[in-house]
Amino acid sequence: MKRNACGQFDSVHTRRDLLRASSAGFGLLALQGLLGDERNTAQAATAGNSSLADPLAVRAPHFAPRAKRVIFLFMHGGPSQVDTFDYKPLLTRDHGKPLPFEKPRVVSSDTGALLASPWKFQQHGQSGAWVSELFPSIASRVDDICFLHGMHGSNSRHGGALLELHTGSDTFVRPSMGSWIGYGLGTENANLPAFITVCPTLTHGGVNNFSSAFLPAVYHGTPLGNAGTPSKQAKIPFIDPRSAAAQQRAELDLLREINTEQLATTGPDLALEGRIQAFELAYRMQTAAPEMQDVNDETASTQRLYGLDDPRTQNFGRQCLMARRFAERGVRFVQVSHSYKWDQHGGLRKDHSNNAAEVDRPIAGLLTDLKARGLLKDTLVIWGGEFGRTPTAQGDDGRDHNPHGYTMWLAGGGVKAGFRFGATDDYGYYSVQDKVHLHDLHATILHLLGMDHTRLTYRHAGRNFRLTDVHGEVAHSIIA
Amino acid sequence: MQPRPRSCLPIFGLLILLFAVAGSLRAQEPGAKPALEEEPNATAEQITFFEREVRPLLAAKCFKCHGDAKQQGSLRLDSRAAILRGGDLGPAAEPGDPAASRLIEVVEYRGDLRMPPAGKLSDREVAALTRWVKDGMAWPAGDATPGAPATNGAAKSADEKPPRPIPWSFQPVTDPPAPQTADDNWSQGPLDRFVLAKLAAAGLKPAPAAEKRVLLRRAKFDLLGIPPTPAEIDAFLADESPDAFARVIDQFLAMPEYGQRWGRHWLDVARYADSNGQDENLAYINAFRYRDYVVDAFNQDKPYDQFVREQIAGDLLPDNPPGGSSSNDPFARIVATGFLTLGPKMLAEDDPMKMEMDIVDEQVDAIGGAFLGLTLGCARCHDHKFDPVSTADYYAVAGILKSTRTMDNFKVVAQWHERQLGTAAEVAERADHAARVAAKKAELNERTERATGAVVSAARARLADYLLAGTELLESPALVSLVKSDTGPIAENLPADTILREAENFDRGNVLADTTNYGPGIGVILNRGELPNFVEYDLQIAKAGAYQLELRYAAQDPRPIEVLIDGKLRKANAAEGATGSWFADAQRWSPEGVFDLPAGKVVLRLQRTSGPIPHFDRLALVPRAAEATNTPRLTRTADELAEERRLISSYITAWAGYLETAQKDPQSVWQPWFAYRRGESLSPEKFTGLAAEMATRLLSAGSPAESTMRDAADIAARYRDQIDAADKRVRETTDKTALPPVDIALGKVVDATEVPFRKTPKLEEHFSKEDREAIALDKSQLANLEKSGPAALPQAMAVEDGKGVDLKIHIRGSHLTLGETSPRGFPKMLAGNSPEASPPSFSENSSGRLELANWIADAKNPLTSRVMVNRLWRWHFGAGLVRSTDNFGNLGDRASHPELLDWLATRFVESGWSVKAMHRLIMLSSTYQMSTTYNAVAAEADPDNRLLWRMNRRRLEAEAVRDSLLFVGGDLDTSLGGTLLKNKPREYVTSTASVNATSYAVNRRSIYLPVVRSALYEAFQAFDFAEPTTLKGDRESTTIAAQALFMMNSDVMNEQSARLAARLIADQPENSAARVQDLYRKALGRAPSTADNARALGFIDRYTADLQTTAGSAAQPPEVQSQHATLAWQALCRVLLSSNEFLYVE
Repeated sequence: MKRNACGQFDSVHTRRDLLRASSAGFGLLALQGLLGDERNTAQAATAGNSSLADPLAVRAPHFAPRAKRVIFLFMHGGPSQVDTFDYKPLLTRDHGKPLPFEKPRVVSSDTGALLASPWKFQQHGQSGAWVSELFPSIASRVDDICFLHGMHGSNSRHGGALLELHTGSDTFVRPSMGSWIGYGLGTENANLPAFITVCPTLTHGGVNNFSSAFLPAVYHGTPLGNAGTPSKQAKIPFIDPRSAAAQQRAELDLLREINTEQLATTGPDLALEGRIQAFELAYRMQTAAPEMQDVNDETASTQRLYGLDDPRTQNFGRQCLMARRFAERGVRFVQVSHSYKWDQHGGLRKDHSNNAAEVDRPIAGLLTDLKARGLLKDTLVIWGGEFGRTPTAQGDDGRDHNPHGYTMWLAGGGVKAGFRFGATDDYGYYSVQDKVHLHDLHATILHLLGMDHTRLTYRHAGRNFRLTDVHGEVAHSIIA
Repeated sequence: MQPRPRSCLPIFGLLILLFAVAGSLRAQEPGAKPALEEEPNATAEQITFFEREVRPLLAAKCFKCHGDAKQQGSLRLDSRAAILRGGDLGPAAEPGDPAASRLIEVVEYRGDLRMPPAGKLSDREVAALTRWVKDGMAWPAGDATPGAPATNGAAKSADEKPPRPIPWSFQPVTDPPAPQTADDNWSQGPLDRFVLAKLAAAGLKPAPAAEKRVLLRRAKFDLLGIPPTPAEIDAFLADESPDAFARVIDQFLAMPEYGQRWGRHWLDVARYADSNGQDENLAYINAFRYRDYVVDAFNQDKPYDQFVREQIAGDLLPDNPPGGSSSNDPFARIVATGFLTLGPKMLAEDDPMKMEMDIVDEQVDAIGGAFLGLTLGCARCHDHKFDPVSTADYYAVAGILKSTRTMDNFKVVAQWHERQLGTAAEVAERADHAARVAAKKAELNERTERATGAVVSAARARLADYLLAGTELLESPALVSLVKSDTGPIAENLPADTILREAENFDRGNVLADTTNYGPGIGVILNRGELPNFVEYDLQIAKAGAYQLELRYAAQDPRPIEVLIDGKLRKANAAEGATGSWFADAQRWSPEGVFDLPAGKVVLRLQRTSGPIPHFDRLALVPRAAEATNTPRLTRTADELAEERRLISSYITAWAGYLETAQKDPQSVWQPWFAYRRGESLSPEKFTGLAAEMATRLLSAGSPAESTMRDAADIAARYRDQIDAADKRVRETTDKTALPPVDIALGKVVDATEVPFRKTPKLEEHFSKEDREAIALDKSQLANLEKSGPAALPQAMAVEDGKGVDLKIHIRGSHLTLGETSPRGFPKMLAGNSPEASPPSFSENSSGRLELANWIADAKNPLTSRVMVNRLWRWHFGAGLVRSTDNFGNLGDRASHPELLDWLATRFVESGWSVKAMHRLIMLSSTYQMSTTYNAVAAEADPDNRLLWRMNRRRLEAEAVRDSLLFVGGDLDTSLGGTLLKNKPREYVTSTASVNATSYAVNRRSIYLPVVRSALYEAFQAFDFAEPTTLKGDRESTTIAAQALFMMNSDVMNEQSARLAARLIADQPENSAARVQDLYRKALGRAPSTADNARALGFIDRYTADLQTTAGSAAQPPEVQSQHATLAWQALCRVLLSSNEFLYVE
């Protein structure tokens, strides 16, 4: 099989194949409720197949997976690698000197001389990973973490870089990785969508970053509020648990009666059947989702673990705690955004400190909690921004965008714990060793979930598309 | 990086060059095979070096991607011949010349291309490769690494690639006769016979005809996107004439709602939206003109070929277009080219070349997909894998768009081009007026500049005074916040009479008080849109005395404001710091000064004339009783110093800042001055560099003895004299390097571009009276001139022709690696079918768009008519004859009825490309008029209904769902045209605060709701609205829970069901059964059955009873009972409007 998105593929995962492969009976439909493309489902039904393709039904991956679900902690704006996890003693030594090699051909704006990190670094844990004093709590979890110090991307602007990180393309609208994963694996919870994004940004591409694009709408990321909403108030669009439940139930009962009666006159039509079930699912989701968002039934110590006791950490802490609750209940891909705060062209000292203080305890708490509950082993946690920052100074207290070399980290989900992979140059500008491009990261994430990125394809506008386009190499060295 | 010139040479040429070199060296006959596989003169030592150092390295680091299994960039590195032959970028190495060898360049990580990508080779490895290339690239004879291709020296060239199969759709359109069908009393015309013949061949029969009621509902949804009214149904059912349906079709086609419905279909293909999406999401406030053009084109039945021509090259069409134009809008053809402009764009892209090519690419793809059903974009990086479209073809078309002006610039944030819609005279009049305004502005600027120069010169003459005042200001103790130095609670024990005020509780102002977006309990003031911003507070001062003013605010960028007390400017650059962000957590208390205030009412005014204010949260006035704090009082503010000494306040501040910076430089010429201020001696030996030289000059100037310098004024005067003298020398000397460095440094002090006396626009108040008056006069003249100008013309997103240029092929799609020039033209395989004997030539004076438009719109183009009739079929039947409506290439689907498709395409052209004629042709067929009746045998044989054994049941599209709800609710506004976008031109439609301000709570038809890319209306998103970044001729129809939630809880549903219920009750105040009757007829177009009726009435009774039980008390007042009844009827309406029967068209 050729491994080229513009090339000829085995279309293992076209919708039609899924339909043919599906063995879920009508009972499962009644339980799982959701339907996909009517033309395809109609085809399946009229073909005399009593089975029904539920596009969210759990599907077997290509090979044994290491991770079953993903929690992506997105630091919107671009945290600085050289101030957080990528320790560069030479940067400190040569503070104020010009960068001793060429800057990239394309830069966002001019930067000056090298700027030493204002924060001290120390080694932590058995693994001896270097972490700056910005993240004292995460530092205590380094032995669970796999650092990717050689990350690089292609776009130096927020919009392009966000799109590339989320969809693999920095130019065109493509399905988000959460959508691809839902498409590949389905969901384990019939009452919730496969892909939930908590407080996503509406800027820098907005919805495009969690959109299913040309994949069926059922794989679209379901937003909970947006970056402008405090996480406590975030909710799914059109969910209204305040509606008088008894009356609404009565309406739905009548609706089901009317629809069922009509169905008896039309002959088999899975789209019509699917709509009957969709209302039942919506009704259940209306109860289930707010309940799953409500963290009041968590113990006080758990709430503290996530920093819900501190006004600085409570907003992001609640997002992380919700993420755990969703993951625990089988949501495939949960994204949590610390929205557009990390873009320190100026005010680096103050703002990186504040930002880190908002997320440090919640993230460490999430790792601790996942581990304690035995979830970390098959939950892949991803941390990172859309790019890193320059080791050179913008103004006297800022750094510019830098997609050429930066750090992201993974934890759980079958990656090596307490491991460091890749490196930037001596000053932290370019990725130089064991480089991991965003395409490679995507390939690796899919691999950990048991999917071959070259085989997870979808036919659209006459060609097969992939999350990784024509690129992507799995970083096998980081897999435990 | 400029691509290396070598890489621009055609590969073929290089090989010839190589052959020539090899030939001459080895005296071979021309044409003989050069022995590339071995290095002729390799020594045993070199071979050993290769085997030990080089081959293992190549094998370990390179072969994976450039060997047997893969040839990234068409390059192999597993034989000497392969390396010399190279890949997409030309030869990989030049034996003997590492510096000219790309192999070496890439492993050294010098340019943009860096190999191996996983990490740089060690220095030792790089050195080994370099040495090997330098020594001539020894490689053992006849020993290509296993798996290498036969190295016979034959070059791989583009010509040798296997030809792509020609897709069926590239064949000329034919006019096949309709098959004869036996025993045919079903067919109404040839269309049906094509269908029936296929069905018969499969042993299938068409479904029975649909009932009239069903047919009418289908036809009205199809053509207008809204359900029939009971009156329309009654009339149609009563009309038994044979042409009843034909007349209904004509009636619908004549309604303006037709263009709204079918225009929206086209907008899916045109990837229409009202913003660019992506990063920096700006409002396309003029995109609506294109949308209105499309609606108008469908309503007018504009010939499709003309419609195509106008969208690609409307601005270039001759005045009397073939086919004629009945448009009332003289600018329609310019507006039409909005098709090319309104695609999605990444307006923030640091690489302008990439941005330009991305935009061109988007246009090529849009044109190919919309009109030709071709995925031309695939050929951007490599020859199309499946269709006979090469990269040369791609760049031939791309060159046409590159020669078209779509954008004004490619900066961050880039600006797309818009055209004024006016006659030449109107445009010229405005240009003329703009020129006069510009001239007046220049005059004003010049006068201001001169006046500023005078102020600066006067200030410079008082350098010594500024030095003193600046120093005093610098030495003044810094203010410390008495309220709180950082975040956190307000300090306890603030003195009595302290005034604390929330900023949003202002008495007067033109700012926005925002109490919702910054967190619980936090209210701030911010810019509401009017500049300058100002805000005033009436404050009651208990006791006269000194008060410290403090402001709490957040600002991501510095936004200095003015503080006025009782109308008098007291501080010019208050709250000027950046605190980090606009968010609440960045708010800081900032002490701004100490002011003597009288007892009684005082008006505090904060204002900013040059832009919006920072986000203020609170303000405080704290009495400065000495015992209350140990913070010393600020001696004097710059304003006070300025007033006392008749100086300019901003220059005093500038001097203080300048000196503060100078303090940090131990060699600064100002170090002797600082030493003096500290009471130290000025003896030169204690200083270094310029400072020492300066001390010497100070001491030697005038009086030699240090003791004579009695006071600061004396030293300041000496500085002034030294600076004046140095400045004179600097100005008079051409060779500045000859001057002592101290002169250069001193000269800079009075340079108008340097800090202390920099020209700033804030100097206006210090202008002379004459200057002020003259400037005021200029300004009023300018204002009058601007006011008197002609009203601005409407603008349209539209293109213009630029200079014709041909593009070079971008190898692998990268603008950094260019190949051969591909002259502008059309895809060659298709152009072969062009009616023109020879392709048109493309001049430098035009883009070639007109030629492209004419070529596409030509009746002989095999794709254009086929693609469009198939689209029309798709929008009538829910599936195309070719199911992949947007791909007619080899990877697209084959037509289910190829002869029918061609027959239709031929009729289409024959009809003068009339879309309305096609509607009639299709809808007046038995095929269209079939019912959706299920047939188990047919379903088994043809589950996809490709053979059309019945009509497809279709769910309403997003717009039809919403429009129908509003229509049945009695609230749909079907007026034509205009925009609902409230944004200013190029304003952000989604903000960084993640707010989409677009309102969808209107009752216009859905086609007029703004389509905001990256933030689509969520109701549309739920119902499979076409993602507006790529064309979509074939929308999905999915069933997801979000649709159910929309039906259960959305405002639209609640409002419309309430409206409908109110109408039912008003029309039938007494009779419940009659209400049910009305409801069914309005919503579903049929009368309720007895069972329907009983069920509905039973529901109303139960629902009402339930509400009454919930309400508690047994005896409800009549108005509550009536309210309960209304709610029950609303619930019933909601159920019916949510039902499958409502949402599906049979």
